[in-house]
Amino acid sequence: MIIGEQLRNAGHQHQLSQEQIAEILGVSRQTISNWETSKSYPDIERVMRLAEIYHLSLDELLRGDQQMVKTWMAETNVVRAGKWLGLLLALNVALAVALTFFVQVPWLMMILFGAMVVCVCGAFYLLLRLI
Amino acid sequence: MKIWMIGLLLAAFVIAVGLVFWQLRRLIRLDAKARGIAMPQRVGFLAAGTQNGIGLLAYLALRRTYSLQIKLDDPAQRSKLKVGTLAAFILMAEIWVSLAIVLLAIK
Repeated sequence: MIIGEQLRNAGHQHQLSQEQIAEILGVSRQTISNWETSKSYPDIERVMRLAEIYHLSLDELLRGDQQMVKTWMAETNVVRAGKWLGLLLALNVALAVALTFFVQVPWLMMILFGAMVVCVCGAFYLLLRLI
Repeated sequence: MKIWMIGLLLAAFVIAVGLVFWQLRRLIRLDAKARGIAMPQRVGFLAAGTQNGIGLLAYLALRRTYSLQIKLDDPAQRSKLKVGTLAAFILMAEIWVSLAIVLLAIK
C-alpha cells in the first residue's frame, strides 16, 4: 500500500482531520491533502512524526511504497551533488587565480584554461542534475 | 582569414548561448510548473537569463519550499530537456575553447 493510502486510513481510524494533522506538523492543509493523494511526499522527519501520531512503525508506514523510497534517494543524491558543486566552484576560483600567476607560461596556461573549462562543464552538469 | 574565422566563431558562440538559454528556460519552466510555483514562465526566463549561474542557484533556493507534485511532472520531457541543455552547453564550451585558441594563435 502506498503511503498516501496509509495516511488516509490512519487519519480515519484516529478520527483526525487534515486540518488537525496540519496544525500538529506545522504545514498547510493542502500539503496534507497532497500527501494523502500521493501528489507529493512528506520528508523523513515528517514521516517519523506521522508514525508517532498514528502509533505506527516506520516499517508499517513505508512498506510497499517504492516511489517514495526513490524520491528520498533522489533527495540524498541532491545533497551529494550540492557538495560536489561547491567543490567544483571552489576549484574553479583556484584555477582562475592560478591562471593570473602563470599567464607568462603558455603550456601551463593552456592546461589551467582546459581544467577551468572542464570544471565549468562539470558544475553545469551538476546544476542540471539538481533541477 | 583569421578575422573571418573569429567572426564566424563569435556568431556560432552567440547562437550556442541562445540555444543554452532556450533549453534551460524550458527545463526550469517545466520544473516550476511541476512544483506549483507561481509564474513559471517568468521564473524560467529570470533563472536561465542571468550570468554565472546565479539565477540557477537562486531558483534552487526558491524551489526548496515547493515539493514536486508527481501528477504535474513529466519525467520523460525533463530528461530530454536535460540532455538537450547539456549538449547545447558542451557545444558552447567547444566554440569558446576554439575561439580562445584562435585568439592565442593571433597573439
